[in-house]
Amino acid sequence: MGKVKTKVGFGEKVREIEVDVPDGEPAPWGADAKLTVVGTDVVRVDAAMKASGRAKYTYDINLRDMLCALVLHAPYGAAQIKKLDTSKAEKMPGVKGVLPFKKAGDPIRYHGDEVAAVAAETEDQAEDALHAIEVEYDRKPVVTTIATAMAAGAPQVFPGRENVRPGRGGQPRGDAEGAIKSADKVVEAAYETQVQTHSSFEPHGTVAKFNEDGSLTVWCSTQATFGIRQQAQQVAGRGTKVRVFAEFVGGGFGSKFGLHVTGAAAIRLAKQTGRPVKCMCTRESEHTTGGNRPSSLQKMKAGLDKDGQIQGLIVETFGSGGIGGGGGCANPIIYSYGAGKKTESDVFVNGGPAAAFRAPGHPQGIFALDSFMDECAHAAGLDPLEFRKKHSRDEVYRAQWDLGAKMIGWERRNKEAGKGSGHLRRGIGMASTRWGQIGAPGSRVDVIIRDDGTVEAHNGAQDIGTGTKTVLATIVAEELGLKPPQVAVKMGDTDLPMGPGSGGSVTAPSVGPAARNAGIDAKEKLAELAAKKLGVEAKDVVFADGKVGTLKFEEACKLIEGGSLRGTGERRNNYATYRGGVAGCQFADVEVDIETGRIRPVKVVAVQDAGRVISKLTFESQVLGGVIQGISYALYEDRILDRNVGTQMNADFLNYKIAGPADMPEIEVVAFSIANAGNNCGMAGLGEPPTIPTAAAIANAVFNATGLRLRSLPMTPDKVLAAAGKKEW
Amino acid sequence: MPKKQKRGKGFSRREFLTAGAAAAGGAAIGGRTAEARPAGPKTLGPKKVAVTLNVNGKDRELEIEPRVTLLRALRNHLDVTGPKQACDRGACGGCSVLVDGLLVNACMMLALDAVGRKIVTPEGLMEGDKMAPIQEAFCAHDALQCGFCTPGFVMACQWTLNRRKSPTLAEIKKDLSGNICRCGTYNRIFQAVQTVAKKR
Repeated sequence: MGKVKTKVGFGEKVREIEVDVPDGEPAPWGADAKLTVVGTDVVRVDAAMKASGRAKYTYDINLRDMLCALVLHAPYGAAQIKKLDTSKAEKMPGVKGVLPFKKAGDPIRYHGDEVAAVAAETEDQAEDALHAIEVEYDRKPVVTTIATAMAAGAPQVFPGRENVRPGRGGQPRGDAEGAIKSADKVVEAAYETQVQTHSSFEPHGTVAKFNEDGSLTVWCSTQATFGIRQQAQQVAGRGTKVRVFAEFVGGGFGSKFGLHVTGAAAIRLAKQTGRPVKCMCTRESEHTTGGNRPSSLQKMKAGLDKDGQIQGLIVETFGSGGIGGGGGCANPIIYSYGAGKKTESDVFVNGGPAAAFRAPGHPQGIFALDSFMDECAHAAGLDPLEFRKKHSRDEVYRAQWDLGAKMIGWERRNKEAGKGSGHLRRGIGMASTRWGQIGAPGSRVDVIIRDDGTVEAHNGAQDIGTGTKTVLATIVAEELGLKPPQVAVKMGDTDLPMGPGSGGSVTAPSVGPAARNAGIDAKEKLAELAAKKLGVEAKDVVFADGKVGTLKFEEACKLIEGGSLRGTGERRNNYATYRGGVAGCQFADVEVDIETGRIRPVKVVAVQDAGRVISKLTFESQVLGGVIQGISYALYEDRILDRNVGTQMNADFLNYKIAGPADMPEIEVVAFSIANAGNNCGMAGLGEPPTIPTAAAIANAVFNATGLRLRSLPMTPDKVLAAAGKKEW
Repeated sequence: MPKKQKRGKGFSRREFLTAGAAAAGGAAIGGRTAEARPAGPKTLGPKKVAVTLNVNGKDRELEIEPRVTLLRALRNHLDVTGPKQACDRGACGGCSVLVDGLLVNACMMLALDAVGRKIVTPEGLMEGDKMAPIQEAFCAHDALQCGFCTPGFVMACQWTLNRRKSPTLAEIKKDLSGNICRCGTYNRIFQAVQTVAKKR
């Protein structure tokens, strides 16, 4: 298409830019685009299936002759298997297959490491059979925290390898040490964050069925259907034709890219027994093997000049993804800080391997960074919001901060932290978030219009609860002049066109623009037919209000020969854009009981952009969910490993605390729509950014309420009381 | 969690081997029970027994080991998969069903204990393809994301609406406190309950 002028920005800050649009792409929806259904409150297209209980998730697939498989997991953090005997289990009632993963002599490095799997006629029989597997362990010393793993003489998680993999980090910028040395004020603090498990409500699991023609059908609770197809092929044997279904997925949050041991067990046991096999994680094994957010220790040091400007910042982080890597913390980002230096180290402990978890590295990184910004503001004697404005010129941030401050009533905050009386103290704090994804090429969407007037949109990727199906229906409906419920969306099937794994908040902004292209392609084909009938030019046929030109949509569809027509759309490269990523901020109003140590969030305001808002309801839901997970991370969740044997002590939902209904504050969400012209819809990633700043905003509010600086997550009553005990009240 | 009461003197999951059959349950279990012991309470299992469960208004016959929970009987034997097995320990409410109008964690009740009672799952709130008002409100408010906790929440909300005419926000929060949502939809669930309460 070539160079196109388009309006970008938000509110009153709109300006015209020129973007280079690839051939075959329409002009992007600019800030002044007249849109009918995009941006409105579209009801989630699969909501009724879910609310009625009719939606079939992987866990709900029941096939004729299906066996139930369960995995036996090691109960200790470190051990060597002395003996593994499955012979008794094989003879148990109903048992049809046994699959050892380990043998005598093999090491165990975390609680949850897989030992064997069994397949039986019923779930109860499979449980019995697990108990009949005889395993003897020779227990070894464990390390369960960053601190103990780094201590001199600590047991090595991988014998012969240091527990600490030191010192990665970006290029230092300028002379941070020098800047701090010559600073007017030096601020220094260390922050700790806990391990959080994904705790997807539907655990990991797979149903595997070999068909008569040798092909394999897999239902998998996954956030990457096409990735699973490849992995399942590797397990089933090269050349096996695999089809993966994931029509409904009970959450993933980053943990469900892999086939997981349950998937491998289901496929191998299906092959072994010649029967379909379902293998799901229990809640316990979901906690221990399903992935987690690494713990962290983050040391920060800054030098401020006499105006309160940060001149140098040194950040040293340690993160532990258990026996896995990837413990890095995403900081310092967002703010400008003069000279800077950062190192990050991975620390091994005897815990289950980390997995990508909704904005990997960011919630922990921003908890430290935005807490530290508050500490620096306090040291400089400046209002925290004014202090942040000194360290960012970003116009989106500034607009969002002003809006959030107004909505929470920033002026109500304590001018002096901790000032007040009584045992209940109120305070207000804030923090910010940034995310860099606006989607990528590689996806295709097909739109099928049938002669009976029905419309379908097809993409093989999955909707894990984020609302991707609704986004596709909305975009296609916009192009065809229909209402979103008139577009039936099929997703979660690898026989449909290629789509991305749901990671990095890329699904909607990757598939959405392809859906627009597919909608336009289908529209043009139908317009040709309608034009012939109406005796007008195809380009003059307008699709609006359920009409094609002067024809009713259904009448126009009757012109289709051969039953249906197919429009197809590819996701092309992103354009030079107004803004590469997305921004957001959250303000928290909390009440702290300084006698019980309980922190009660009263209200949270979340302002978030993700480029153009396509479906407002699902957009707000995503942000609401991010805030609630953030509250849960800030105040409750903590994977606790026994320090002597490495066993997780709270691998359930009773003792692993997830924020519940009674913990909810009022939450106000602002869908901050921005025309960014980064792709034909101006879409950007949303899933991850809204969970990033919540913990820091709450911690800053707690400081404002009490004058207590809590530098360790979760901020449980014991930590509040320990801090309160050191203060003169 | 006061709401998740287990009624009757019947089996608990751990005690089924020794517990006596509850009067209500025993009568309907049918002829294949283990022989009665002269000196003690009647013992069932471990072999399968034939039972009839009234699920969503229909009598369903099945053969299960006495230890099988109501949840597994529904999901694995009757293919009623609205109730979800998310924690299997009564800690999340994903398997909430109504048993004789009382909200129950189906994973914490033996199927035998539900014999002779009316079991309602989210599927049973529907009239044909028409959803109940609370289900419609869930859709209108987008009170769901991945949807895996939704059937359990729908039942808990229905129970609240059954027992309270116009529940306050605090009452709704309290009544729903046996349920967890991982995606984070709570506030919209509260709105869904309030909308239904206001409209009727």
